[in-house]
Amino acid sequence: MTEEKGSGNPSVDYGEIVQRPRARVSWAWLFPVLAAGAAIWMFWSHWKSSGPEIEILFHSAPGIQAGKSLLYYRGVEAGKVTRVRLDAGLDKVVVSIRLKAYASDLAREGTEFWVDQPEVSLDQISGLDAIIQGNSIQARIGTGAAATRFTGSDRPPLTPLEAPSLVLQLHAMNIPFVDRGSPVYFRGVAVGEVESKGLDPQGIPVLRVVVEKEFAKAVRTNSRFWVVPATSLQVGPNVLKFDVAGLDAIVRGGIAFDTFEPPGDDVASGSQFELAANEMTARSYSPPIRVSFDDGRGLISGQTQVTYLGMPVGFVEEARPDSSTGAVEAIIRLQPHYDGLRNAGTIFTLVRPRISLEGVSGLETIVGGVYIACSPGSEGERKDNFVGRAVSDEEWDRAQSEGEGLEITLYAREIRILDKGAPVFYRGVPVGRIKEKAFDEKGSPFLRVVVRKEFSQFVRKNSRFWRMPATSIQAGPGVMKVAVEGVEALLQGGVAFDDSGSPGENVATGSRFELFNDEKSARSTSLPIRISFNNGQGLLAGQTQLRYLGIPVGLVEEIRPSAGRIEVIARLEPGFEILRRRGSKFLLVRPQISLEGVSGLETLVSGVYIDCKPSSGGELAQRFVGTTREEIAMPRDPLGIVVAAPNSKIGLGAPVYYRGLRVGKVIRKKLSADGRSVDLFTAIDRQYAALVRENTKFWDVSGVKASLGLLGIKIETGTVESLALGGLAFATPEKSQMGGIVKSGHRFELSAEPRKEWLLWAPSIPLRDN
Amino acid sequence: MTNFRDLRWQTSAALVVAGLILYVPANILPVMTMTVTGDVEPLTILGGVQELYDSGLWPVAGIVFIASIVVPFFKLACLSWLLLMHGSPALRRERTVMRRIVHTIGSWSMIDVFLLAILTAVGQLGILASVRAEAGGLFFVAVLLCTLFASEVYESRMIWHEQDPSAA
Repeated sequence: MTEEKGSGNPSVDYGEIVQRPRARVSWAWLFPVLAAGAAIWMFWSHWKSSGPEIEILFHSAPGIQAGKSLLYYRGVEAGKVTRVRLDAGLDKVVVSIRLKAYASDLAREGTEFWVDQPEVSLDQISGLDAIIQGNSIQARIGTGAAATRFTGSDRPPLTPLEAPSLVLQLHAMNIPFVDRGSPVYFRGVAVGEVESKGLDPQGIPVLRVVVEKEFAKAVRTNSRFWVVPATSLQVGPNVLKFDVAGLDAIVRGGIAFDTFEPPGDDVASGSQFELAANEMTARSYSPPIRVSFDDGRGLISGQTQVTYLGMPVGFVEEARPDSSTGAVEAIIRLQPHYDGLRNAGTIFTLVRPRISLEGVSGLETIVGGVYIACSPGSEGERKDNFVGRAVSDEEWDRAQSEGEGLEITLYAREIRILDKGAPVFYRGVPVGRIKEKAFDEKGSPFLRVVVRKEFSQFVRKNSRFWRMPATSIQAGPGVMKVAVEGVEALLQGGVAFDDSGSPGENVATGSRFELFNDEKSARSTSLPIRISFNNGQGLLAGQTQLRYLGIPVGLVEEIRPSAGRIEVIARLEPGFEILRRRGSKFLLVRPQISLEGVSGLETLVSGVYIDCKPSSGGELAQRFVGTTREEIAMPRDPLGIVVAAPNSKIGLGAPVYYRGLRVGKVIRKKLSADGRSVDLFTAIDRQYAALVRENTKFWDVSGVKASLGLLGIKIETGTVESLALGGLAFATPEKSQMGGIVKSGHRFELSAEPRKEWLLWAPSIPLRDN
Repeated sequence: MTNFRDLRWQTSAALVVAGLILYVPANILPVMTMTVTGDVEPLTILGGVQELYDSGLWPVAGIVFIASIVVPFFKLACLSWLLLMHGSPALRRERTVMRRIVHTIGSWSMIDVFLLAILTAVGQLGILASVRAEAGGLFFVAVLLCTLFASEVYESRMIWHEQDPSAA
């Protein structure tokens, strides 16, 4: 521009144009330098800020992306994933990470890497940030030497910030409930967590437990660990206690530990401890005691408690059958300060729930499980092996005395209801027990009975055994008695025995006795009698009674058909030998309802019975013929006459009237020999026999007689009885015509109606005094 | 080289050289970081183009590719050619046309930067999404500025300058 001005006005001297020496190099070259500087600084600072590259092997690396995913350490970005690939075997993911320079210390052995991903489980929600930020890799620094290759863990460690200072290993044969994350309590304070649960090389479950640094001193070399179940329920007679260890523990269970002795030394990380199944177990660590039981039902290794005076003092560590002795051997551990129970006199009793008719015991064990009660002996040296009992003390004593007791055998044709275990009574006192019910070689059933030693003297040669019914009902007119022989016998029945007569000699084991069906038949010492009936309806063996004048005097023992009749074998009680005389009468009494009356009504309740009537004399007999219905009440020593009727509706038992008074009855009825008439065999009371003379006239008074006359209708009826059965009436003429006294068997004709004069006859005849 | 005496030429050449240098980090370094629902995504220019193309927006991808990669490179290449041909009598007409083209499209090459500026301003949605400008953008802007000024400084008439013997 200066040039232009100069050349435009040459006349004016504007001065000389001096060409300034031109800068040879433009200042603009500073730009490339600056640009290069910036670029170099950029790359250098990038290089400077990145540390070493490490490789981590993961089983899986979900959501990890090269160039994007970050490595965090204590929540701060510590590196970036540069590459994700699979290893040659396709079974690992190799994640390469470029660490930040300030985080390059992470590249050392022991550093743990894990993929942080959202986790929602029953007990926790973690990695929520990963939902938003995407999955990342987290690190917890280790302490080893520098390294660049790592194996990532599949799960985040429990203490993600620092490695725990105290890690313990707990061994147990069985570790239920507890799992990773379960809290560890020391006197109720959560001091750590279970880090992992696994198996050691021997296959024994092992828990790795992390105890926080500040509580590390709580763990002592003699601390004892136990599992705290999620919840515990305690039920006792008046205790119902529901324990929840903590909200955390509800879900995951927990572990507790304590030191029960003077505390020992500090422990180092990696120490091994035993894990007890529960607190009781943990507390009981005195040397084991072996107790053998015949039957180990309900014993649970590690759980069954040992109590002393109802207080738990130990537990069964192990229960196992010992094949050599055939017993169950329980290894018991007691709490150290109850070690005094370990003396020779101690009795260990396995208590189970028992509901028997003798009572209910051990009910608490239904809820709490069986336990072993021990009662210490007063003295005795220390002992490690015991023989335990599985029954209560009483039963034990009884079993002991039964073991040495008297064994006898009872035979019967049939043994109902009674079974093993049913009691044996002597005068109401249980003295033994049925040990066995079986058949002998001949096929007849027998009971083997054991009478306890102290009672064996009561069994004599002449003892009689009978089956005790569960209940007995005695019923009679005005009497109804229900006897129950004790609750136990109610269900099982039982066997009772007593002496018959004066006590005999004692018997030896193995003696045989007959088992009677009931007490009556047992007490009946006499020989049985046999009565035959043509109909045995209502007879029951062992129940139907024989009665004499209404009093039971014997019992039907057996009923069997014999030659078309029913033969009843009955036993009479002693003192009623009179009934065994020949000529005694046996009547089967059944309820009878007739027009003459109602009889035997009591049998509706008590069942039929056999009424006995002794005969006045005669030798003893064994066989009798019984009648099944009451014979027509026979007038005593009657006059038997025959009244022949052309036809007759007169029934048996029909009354015979004289002047309206009943003096006899029809006892038999049959067609006459020539068939022309019906012969009514009529018995006239001996007292009135004199009234019947040769010329006596008989007429029929059966039914209703109606005669129609001019004056009206006349209706005559006899008694109700004669209305149904019919009846006879007779009259005897005056003195001169009456004729002689008739003999038995005299025949008379029956007129249909009386003549008028017959009714007027009124002879005076002296009657024989009765 | 007499050309070195020409300060304008030198200035222009220096700017082109600086632009070429800056072109490298501008394309290597991410221009922005997009964080969408925790997904942290650092994007270089080429990466952004790829992203757009992958999501099916290939016309947009083409525009961005042309505007952000082809055009700056084209400008740098053209300017380098013009500067190297400086003083040569050959192809003067064509060189003039080319310089005009470079000058004209220069005003459009900032489109990417505007886009970046808008994105970083708008894309602040807390933890859900955020867009952050990165160093690469700065380099990119620097490249653009260098080419702009370079084409401004190297005027068309300089193409027609005869070799000045006195200057030598």
